[in-house]
Amino acid sequence: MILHDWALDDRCYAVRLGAALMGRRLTIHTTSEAAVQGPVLTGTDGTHRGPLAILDFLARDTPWRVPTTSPWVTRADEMLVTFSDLRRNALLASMPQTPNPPACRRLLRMIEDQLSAQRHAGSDWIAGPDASIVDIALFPVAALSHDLEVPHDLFPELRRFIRSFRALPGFITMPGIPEYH
Amino acid sequence: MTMWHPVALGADIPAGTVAPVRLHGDEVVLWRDEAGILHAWEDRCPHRGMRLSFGFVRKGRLACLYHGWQFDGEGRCRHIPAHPDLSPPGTIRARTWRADEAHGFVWLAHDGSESLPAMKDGAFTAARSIAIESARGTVAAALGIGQDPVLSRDGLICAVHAADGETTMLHVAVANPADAADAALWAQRTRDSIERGEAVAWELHL
Ligand code: FES
Repeated sequence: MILHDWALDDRCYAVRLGAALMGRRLTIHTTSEAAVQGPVLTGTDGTHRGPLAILDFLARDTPWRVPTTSPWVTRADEMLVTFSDLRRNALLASMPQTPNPPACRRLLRMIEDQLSAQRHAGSDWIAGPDASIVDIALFPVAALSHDLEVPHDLFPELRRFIRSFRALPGFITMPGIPEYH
Repeated sequence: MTMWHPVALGADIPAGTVAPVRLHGDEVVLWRDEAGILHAWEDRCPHRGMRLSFGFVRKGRLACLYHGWQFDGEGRCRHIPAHPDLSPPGTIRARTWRADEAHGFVWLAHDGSESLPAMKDGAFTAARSIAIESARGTVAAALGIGQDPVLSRDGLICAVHAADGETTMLHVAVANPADAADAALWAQRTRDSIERGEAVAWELHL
């Protein structure tokens, strides 16, 4: 399977991250088109577009859960795409952007509220009792929100989520997400 | 007089982790070593001023993410990876804040020498720290928090601090651990009410 990928794109990162966690091997084909349209997966099974659709496809025949009945699958897809637009605008802008944009704060607040409810129900994860493709799709939003200068002191649940997620076996980073040595 | 400010729930900073905090816009890094001892410093690395809160804890020291300088529990630089054989001069130090814990909250003081006033401490369970996009004065007035920094009411223990001029953190703990989940939801409803300018409803269980 070939991932049409752009290393600095958050949606592409979600797919690479998912493949690494699921132990799926992908051939990476770097193309600047992926910086605009997001990741595309091609193979003998056809073409898959959009981070959640690709993650859903990759999760087949792996222990990774797809919480099909949860509204968070669709929501995570929309949130990642919204975040990606905001982040791209901020990083590509020729003028300095307003830090900590309200639209990004709103996304993080939704995730924060859900993580709090989940923690009190005994789970570290966004949709259900264990990690799922929803967490994979929203990890880039949580971890790369620094690029939009969202202050993380306001989001303790998000910080905890980032810590738990980083501890998953197979976890990989991208530029902007530090490795701790 | 030493002013102590509640700035976080202790449970949100587990051993071996680092967290940023802002108090009236002052940026502070909180970190807990592996033994559970809490430290609070200015969130600026003495090397190039980068945020220490992006760093990580290793063997009782806070390591800066950028060039790996390591600081011991007293804030003193102990190791510079680019010069591994150098014993860093004692003058290279992170600026420390005073930190203490009571009621399940982390308290900070900038200066002064008085200890955190004794509080009758029960075993409180952390429920939630939540950001409210309103000024601290607005939040304190809506909750009826006066001089006393901690408000105990209907089984809830609440404290607030100003992250910056427009953003307030509300920290909620409970006396009865079974109330924690409802208290977290209460904090959320309270945030929404205050941001909409509505009165706070104190019913914990709906
Ligand atoms: S800025 Fe911290 S080590 Fe260089």
